[in-house]
Amino acid sequence: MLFNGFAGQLINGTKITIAVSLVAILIGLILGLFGATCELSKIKVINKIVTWITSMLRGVPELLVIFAVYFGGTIFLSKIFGKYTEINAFMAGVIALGTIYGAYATQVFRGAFLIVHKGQLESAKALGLSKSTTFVAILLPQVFRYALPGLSNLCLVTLKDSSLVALIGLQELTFKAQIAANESYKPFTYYVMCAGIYLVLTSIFEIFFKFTDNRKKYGY
Amino acid sequence: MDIKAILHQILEFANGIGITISLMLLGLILGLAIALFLTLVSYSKSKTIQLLVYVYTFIIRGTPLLVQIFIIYYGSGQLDFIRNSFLWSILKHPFGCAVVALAINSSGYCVALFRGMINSIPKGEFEACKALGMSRLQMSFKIIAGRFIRITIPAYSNEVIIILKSTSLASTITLMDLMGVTHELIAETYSTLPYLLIAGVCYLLINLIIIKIFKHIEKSIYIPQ
Repeated sequence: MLFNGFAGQLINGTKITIAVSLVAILIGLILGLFGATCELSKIKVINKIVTWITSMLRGVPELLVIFAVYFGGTIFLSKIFGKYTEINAFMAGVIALGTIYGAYATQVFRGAFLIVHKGQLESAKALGLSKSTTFVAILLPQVFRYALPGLSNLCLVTLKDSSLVALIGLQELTFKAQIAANESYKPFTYYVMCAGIYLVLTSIFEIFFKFTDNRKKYGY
Repeated sequence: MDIKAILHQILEFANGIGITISLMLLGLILGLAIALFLTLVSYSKSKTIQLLVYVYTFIIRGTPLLVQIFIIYYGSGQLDFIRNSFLWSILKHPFGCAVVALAINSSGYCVALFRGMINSIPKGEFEACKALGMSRLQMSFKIIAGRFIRITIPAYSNEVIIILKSTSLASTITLMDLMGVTHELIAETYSTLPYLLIAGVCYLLINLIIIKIFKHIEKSIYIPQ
């Protein structure tokens, strides 16, 4: 067996790492769009609350958010079901990472929304387009193009931060490397292998974003 | 809860904050030194050195800090040449490992930041220095350094906050920083959210102080145009 069977374990961990990152990015994108529209809304209270929440989320260590979601989620679920129920580590990790990504993405989207020229919204109104059509057909395609560089950076950060989910017991890449290191008494070998896999993953992400960056010129 | 227990917990938190801040400052200073050195070196004419610096930043920025900390803390013991060298006196303590990991990690990001900033300085300034007959050293220290510091400090404050947040990972290698203390108190009392909340507020306060300090520095080096 390759590396006493640890190679297979690491591959399994890699799959979970990818899954966690992708789901977290998806949640974060939705939260980010929602947060940006809230921050730009004319209702002062919503605007203030969302700005507060996102700046607090960005000021606190990621690890703390993950623990808060994990322990808080367990308390919440236990209250609902009336007996001790532990939140799934995958769920907790995805929610925590998604929220953090969302907080940063809010800033990126906010900037992108502000770049779109006001005249476009006015002409959409003059053409009689509804608010939802304006948002989907006029704003979103442009906002995504402006936000893409910032978002792709955040995706890489989320991929790397997904290693923190190992600390709440999710069996992803770092967790598997930890097991292999403890079992084999060769921590250096396995942690370096783990780092190498992360390096490959981030490189693949980066190549993908280069591709999308080239693609975004088309379609107008 | 009696007063004695509360006092004990406050003391524990104060200790944790002390370790967090000293980790941050040491990591910051060491990281800055490595980053400045690498930035200077990266402008050398040798292609090999340029490539080496690029590979360094690529590896550091492409891997999670947690894995880097684990490699340094757990992994360094496996290598005989590290155990027999003077490095082992630093790397056998978790505190030394955490500082080294934070410094290396932040230096990777800082080199990228610094290079970007230097490249954004208009070419004309370099040419003007040359036209005046300045040597490379004179140019670097008299003209470019001042320019560089002024444009870099606002962006560098972000890096400081990132390092502060990263120090929380030191708790994974048995260090009793703010996060480690929080964990210990949670394990002692079985109440989780209040302690996480206190820790969060502490981190936010330290953040606020850092931002205030950098605002002050920015103001004091600002040149009205």
